[in-house]
Order: sequence, then structure tokens, then C-alpha cells
Amino acid sequence: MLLLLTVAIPLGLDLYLPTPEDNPLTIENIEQGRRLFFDRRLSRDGTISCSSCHDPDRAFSDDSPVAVGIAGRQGHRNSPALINRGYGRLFFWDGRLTTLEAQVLKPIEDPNEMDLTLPEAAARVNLPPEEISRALASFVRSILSGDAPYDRYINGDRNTLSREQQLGLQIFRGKGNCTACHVGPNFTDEKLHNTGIAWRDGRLADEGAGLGNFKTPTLREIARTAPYMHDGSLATLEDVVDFYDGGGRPNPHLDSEIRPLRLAAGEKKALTAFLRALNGVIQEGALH
Amino acid sequence: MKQTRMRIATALLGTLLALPVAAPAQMKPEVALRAAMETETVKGDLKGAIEQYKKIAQGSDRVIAAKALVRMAECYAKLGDAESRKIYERVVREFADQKEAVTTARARLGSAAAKGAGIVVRQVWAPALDTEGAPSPDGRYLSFVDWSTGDLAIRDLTTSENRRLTNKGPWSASEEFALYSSFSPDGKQVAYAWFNAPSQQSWELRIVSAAAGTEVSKPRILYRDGDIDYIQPADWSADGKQILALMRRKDRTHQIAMVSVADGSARILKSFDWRAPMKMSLSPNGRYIAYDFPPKEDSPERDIFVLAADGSRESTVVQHPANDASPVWTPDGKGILFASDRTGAMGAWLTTMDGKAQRPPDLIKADIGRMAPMAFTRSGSLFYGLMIGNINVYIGKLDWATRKLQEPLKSVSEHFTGFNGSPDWSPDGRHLAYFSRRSFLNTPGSTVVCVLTLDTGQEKELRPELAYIGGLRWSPDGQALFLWGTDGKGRKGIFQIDATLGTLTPIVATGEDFRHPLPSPDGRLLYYRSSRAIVRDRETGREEELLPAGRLFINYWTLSRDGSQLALLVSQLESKSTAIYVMPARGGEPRQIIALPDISGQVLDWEPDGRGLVFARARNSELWRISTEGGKPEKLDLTMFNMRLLRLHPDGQRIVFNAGEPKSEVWAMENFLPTLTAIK
Repeated sequence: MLLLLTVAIPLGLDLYLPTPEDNPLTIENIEQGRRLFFDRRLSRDGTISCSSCHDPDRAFSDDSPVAVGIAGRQGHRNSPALINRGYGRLFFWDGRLTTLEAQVLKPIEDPNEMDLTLPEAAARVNLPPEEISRALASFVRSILSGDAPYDRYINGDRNTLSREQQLGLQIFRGKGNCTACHVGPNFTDEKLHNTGIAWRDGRLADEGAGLGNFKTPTLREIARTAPYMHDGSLATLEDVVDFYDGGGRPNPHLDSEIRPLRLAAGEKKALTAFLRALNGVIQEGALH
Repeated sequence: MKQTRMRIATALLGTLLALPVAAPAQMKPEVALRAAMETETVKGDLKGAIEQYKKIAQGSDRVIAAKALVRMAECYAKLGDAESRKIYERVVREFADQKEAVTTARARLGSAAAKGAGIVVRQVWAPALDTEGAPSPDGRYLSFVDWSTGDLAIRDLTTSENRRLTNKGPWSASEEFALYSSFSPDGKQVAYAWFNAPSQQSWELRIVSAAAGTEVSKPRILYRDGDIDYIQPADWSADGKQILALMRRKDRTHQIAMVSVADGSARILKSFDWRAPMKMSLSPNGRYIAYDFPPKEDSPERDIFVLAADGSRESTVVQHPANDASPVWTPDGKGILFASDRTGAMGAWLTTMDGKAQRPPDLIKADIGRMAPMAFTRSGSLFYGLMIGNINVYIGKLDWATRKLQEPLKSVSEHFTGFNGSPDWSPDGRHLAYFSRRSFLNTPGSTVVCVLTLDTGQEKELRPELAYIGGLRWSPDGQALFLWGTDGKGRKGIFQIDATLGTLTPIVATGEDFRHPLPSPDGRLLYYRSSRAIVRDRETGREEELLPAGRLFINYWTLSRDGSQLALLVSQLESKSTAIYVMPARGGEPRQIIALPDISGQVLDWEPDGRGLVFARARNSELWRISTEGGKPEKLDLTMFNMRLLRLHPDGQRIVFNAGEPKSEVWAMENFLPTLTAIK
């Protein structure tokens, strides 16, 4: 583990954690952000906070297929895991925002989520919206997952992955073509792809970023973040592997990297076993 | 008594040891000059010689003093020290009566002046065996790879002698080799990448002593990891405790890392996708890493970034639509020199640094060629490599009856000559496709595919999204081209591009090093090879192995016009020869036609009637033919240095091939960092 001023960087992640110049990572900001993250006053009826859909016990994700906001209002996309988002370049499933500072305010304003205007939110917590944004972004930036069996394996401890998981890693990088999108320390290229998951009954049920493209999610802590995909339509990791093994869902805009894999049953099992080795240590908050 | 004798002996020894240093001042001037020259040329001790020349130059003998000054200036020049210029100027100014010395000094100054205002640009080594090493901090040595064996070596720039630092044996004994190297700050060690072929095809970061000795030192493996696909050193920290390195993971992504020299532990600073910095440089205070990287996903051009070595921040220091690459920190840490094509041609530029860029960069040297900066010496000489290629595509016409050229060879393109190759005729014979490398970067768009319409002379350029293109072949319908190379995600394979639009379709991109795709005449099958030979059914995607890995070491192959036979150029290591084989295209036993020690690689094509094959001998400089039934080969009337990838036109008479070779040189640029005088 390496120390970066105010947060500890776990094994497997870059020491360089991108931070905007106008929002340096300070202990005060992170702590302020943590308080706001759990503060139900940021929802209209005071029933939910950010943590309601981004549960720390589920790698800051949610077990509902789609997010559920105040008064049981349903969103139309799955709550993504808020881990290692400090390394992100696109935010939301459709990648419509490029900074955490902009992203963290949107759920507060979303009628299907917390349903507050920013002035209302500011008044409730007695902080200007810009400060809410900086604090929440700082806290989210401090949520890091690493030091997984995979990280220890690639750093030289060859005993941390079982033989089946090692086979799974080979498939992940080779026959499975998973690394065409899930690459780097955070297992995402931070890009948009059409896997066909939104293609239903001959049309796109959700355009995403356009033409059915959605952002590649991280695979870290993947075993803790079911259900899967932008719409939470796949319940298990096995379902996800089956989906890709079949070549996604054919549609006119299917990404050229998605094609039938024809994995054997044992290979699919190994791949799933490897994905479980991406569960590591989740930490949040500042160093004291 | 015993003690006294020992004291006397010690005193005598002290006197003897002191003699070589004390002697010059007491010698006659000409004797002292000879002694100093011996120090310079025999011992190779430039700094020691400079001290001796300084004392001699203070003497009253103006002939000797002038000669000493000229020699001293040349010593400084060899060390990459701009002081040489000042001394030449002094000779011209103060020794007008010493014609020989003044003539020499004027010549040196003149050549420097001709290169540009104040800047001295000098050729250090040409032709160079390698340009991916670095100068020693004092500028006396240059590390490089001796490609005759693949060993790491250093060149003494004062004596032009090369000395190997590793000793792996000949290629026939070992396929291991070194790549990229960097001197430690004290000049005593060299860090380098080592391809450890026998053990899992892996790369290691190694360190070896640069000290002279009768035997090479045992290298130390600093970093080796089964999850690393590749690692190369970029720079050392000033205290010699860390090595800045670039790693490529097994998922083909790249990382900047600092590797501890003490224990080999690696600290990952920043990860990238499939693209990588081409050059990285550590600031003299060890706090900042300068590197180049494309600012956008689809950009072949690069900008310059500075990353804090503690991971705390990063900033873009050179941002420009042009290609800005290969940053190197100046020795005082106040600037970053980089290569840029912002004027339309590659030049050397300098941006001033104080944590961030303060003003627009200054052009230091315009139109410098395909420059690859290596490193600065302590005194401010920038060593850089230059790629000077003369590879071009040539067309000729052969009369098969007389075996003679019917008209002189003609080069296909007058543009971007030097790096054009892999030509192929379209099936209707009306077009010629070839690739042209426009940049030394292996990034998508850096190599273009040119399609020349022979009747009109019009040329179209296609820019497939491939990071590297190795070669090409037309599809039988003339609508597409098959390429082998590496895609934007670092996957090697066989690709197809639309001959009109250039749109790319991968055919097989598993990462296996497949090369030389050959379509069958009906387009149903596609042949390609790595260490094994494959035929693929284009409709079903089913692959069939024609030859298993290791059965034959195929260098090159070609398909007969009727698609029935494959001709192979095969390396036969045991007999140190190259053989030509012919085998049925749908599989079967290869039949050897001929084997000779001087058959060259990558020239092989079928004669129009399919009864003979043309091939090259004598380092690809002579064209020969042989019947497919064997027999005595016949020499054709075509000689050209280093011919490759010859293709016969569908008319059976015209031929096209590329010829020439890439050349490397090492140069030094100095006297452009005046503020460095204070830190010498």
C-alpha cells in the first residue's frame, strides 16, 4: 500500500490519482463529503441518502436491478459501484459527464432519485452547491478497491489465484477477449460500447449514449455488485459470462469486439472463478 | 630497521605515483605535449589530458601552446562540452601567427557556424549499429545494442572502440538480446531491457557494470515478473536509487513505474491503455517525469505531459495540434527538449519549465529529420538518433526470353522516399499498392497505404487504424487489401481494408504473430503464417494447420497464380543456408527445390507460367530464377542493393519491389543551453 498525501492507494492501483486543481484532495473535503454521502436531508422526503443506492456493504452498489429513489420511485438504470471512480473519465452509464464534481450533484436533482433543487439542498445542509459538489466528489474519490488476490498474483505471489482462477485469467486475456474493454488496473477502458444488452424486440430499449452504447464498468468487486449490466437485467456472474459467450445480443450497432466466444463449460466456470478474484479490500475516507 | 625500510619504500612509491602528474610541467613543451596526447589517445583520459594541455598552453612556446589549445578544444568537443568553441575562438583571436592551428580552429568554428546560430551539431557515430541507447553522463561513452549478436555494448567515443557488456554468444546459440539502455548517473552501470527468450519469452530489467575489464561482468536481474509482457528502462534518478521504467502488462496495457535499484520493487505511477509513452525522462531533481502521449483517443499526434514522481499531480506542458514527442529534461531541470513537426518538418524544440510551461516553446533546430532524442550529457550536449532510410519502391520490366531488363528501374514515388515498401499489383494490373511510413511513431495513422493508379499517376492514401503495418496483398477482386500488423489495441494479426475507403476489418487478431497473408485466386481461402502455416476458410472462419509450429522456419512465402502451390523461403539453421520449397496449397509434403548459403529473405515469386521461381542472392542484391523442378539456378540481369518483396505484374513482365535499407546515425547538439555554464 502506498500513501498519497490524504488517502492510501491499495496494491494494484496507480499512485497517481487524478484530482482537479480546484478541488485538491484534503482531509476536510473528504470528511465533509462522507457526512453528505450519508445525509438523508439531501432527499426531498428525507428518506434516502447517496448511500441508499450505493451501499458500502455492496461495494457502494445496490442489489436492485434499477435505482429506487424517494417514495419508491424507480429509475431506469442500475446503481453502479462507486469504487475507484477517481480514476474515471466518463460518468453515468451513458458517460454524459466527464467530472466527478458534476456527476455527484445529478442524483440530488433527479426527480426519480433525491428530487431536490440545488438551492434547496444547499439550504438544508448549509453549504453552497459548489461545496457540496467538491466534498462529495472528494469522498467518492477516496473510495478505493485494490489488494485483491489478482493484485497480489500479478505482483509476484503466485499462490493467491487457484489453478482454475489462473485458467480464468488466461481466458480473460485471450479467448474471452474481455480485455478488449476491461483493461488496466481498474478493468475498464472508460469507453462506450454496444453489447446488445439494450436491444429488445427489435429495438433499443435504452439508447444509452446513443445507438445503445454504454460505458464499460469496472470489474473490481464484481462478485459483490449483482445484478449486472446497465439495466440490472442479468442476475449472476454466470449469466453475464453466458451473455458474452453467446456474442452479446446481435443488433445493427453491436460493437465489433463482441462476437461468439464458444467457451467450454469448464472455461466459463474458470472465467467466473477469476472474476471473483477481483474482490479485494475496499477503503474509503482520508488518512488521519 | 624494518620499519625504516618500509618508510623509504613507501616514500619512493609515493614519488613514482606522483611522477606522471607532476612531469608535464617540468618537461620540455614538445615532450609535455606528446605526454598529454598519450593521455588523450592511448589512455583515453580526456579530462586528464585537458589538464595537461591547459598547463602547456600557459607556456611561452606559441607553436606548442596553439597546438595544445586545439587538442584541448577537441577533447572538450568529444566530451560534448561547448567550451571547445571558446577555445577555438581564442586560437583564432590570439594565435594569428600559428597558421596551422588557426586553420584547424577556423574549420571547426566554420562547420559549427554553418549549422546555425551558436548551436554546434556534430555527428557522433555513423552508420550507427543502434540508436536506442544513451550517452554516459560525461559524454564519453554511448550504450547500444550490438545487433551482430544482440549483446549490450558501449562505444568509447574518444577511440571509436566498441566493448560488449554482455556476452550471450552468437544468434545461433541464443535468441536473447538487449534493448534500450541508460547509464547510471555516476556512469558506472547501465540499465537495459533483456529479452530472455528461453524462459517463457519474457523481458527483464537488468543492470550491468560499465567498467572496463578483460571479462564482462555478471548482470543483475533487477525486475522480472511473469505478468509483465515487456519492460524497458527510461532514466535513472539522480541519486541512482530508482529507475524510471515503462512496463507492458499481459493485457497489452502500459504503465509508468519506478523500480528500486536496491530491491527491485516496482511502484506503479500511472497506467495507460494500449498506447504507450514513446519517451520518458526524469527531471534532475527526481520530482517530475516528462512523457509524451496522444491527448485524444483517435489522435496519432502526441503532447508532452509532466507527472509528479510522487503521484500527486500531472499537467500538460506542451499542447499543440502537431506531433510533440520524445521529451528530455535539460541537465539544469529548467527546460524540456522535445521533437515536434509543428513547422511541417520535425525540429528540436525547447520549452522552459518551472513546474509548468511558462511561455511558448523555442525552436532550437529546424528540419532535423527523424530525430529520436536519447539524453543530455551533464554538460548540456543532447545526443539523439537519426533514422535515415533510403527504402523505396521500384518498378522494372523483365524480358523473360533474354532474362534482361527492358528498361531502367524507376522509383514509384518521389514523396516520402526512404520508408516506402511492400508493393503489390492489383489483380487487374492497373493499380499498385504500397505502404509509406510517415512517422517514427507506431500509432494508428503513422503508416499510410498508397494506391497508385498506373495509367494516370494519381495516388490515393488510405489510413487504416493500425498501429503498425508489416505488409500488404490485394484481394483477388481488387476491392480490398489484406494487411498484417498490429491494431490500435496492440493485437497482432491479419486485417482487411476496403481499397476505396480504408475501413478496417480484423480477420484474425488473436495476438499471434501472423504474417504474409495470401488470398486464393477465388478469394475463398486465406493463407497466413507465424511459426506455423494456416489456411482459413473465409466463409466459415475455420482454420486448418498446413504446417505445425517449428516444422519449417518460413521466412516468406507466395502462392502460385492458379492457387495450387505454395513456394516457401525456409531458414535452415543447421546448414546455415536458406532453402526454397514448394508444397501443395491444400496441404502435403514440402519439396525442396534448392538450398544455398546466400539465398536472401523475402524475395520469392512465381514466374508467369508457373514453371519457375525468382529469388534473390548475395544479400538480396542479385535476382535469380530456378525451375520448380530444380536444376541449376540462372542469374537475371537485375542487381539492386537489398531487394525485398518482389512481385510480378499480371502481364508477366513488369516487376515491383522495394530496395534500400534503413540507416541510423547518432548526433550531438550542443551550445544551445547557455545557462548550463554555471553547473558544469
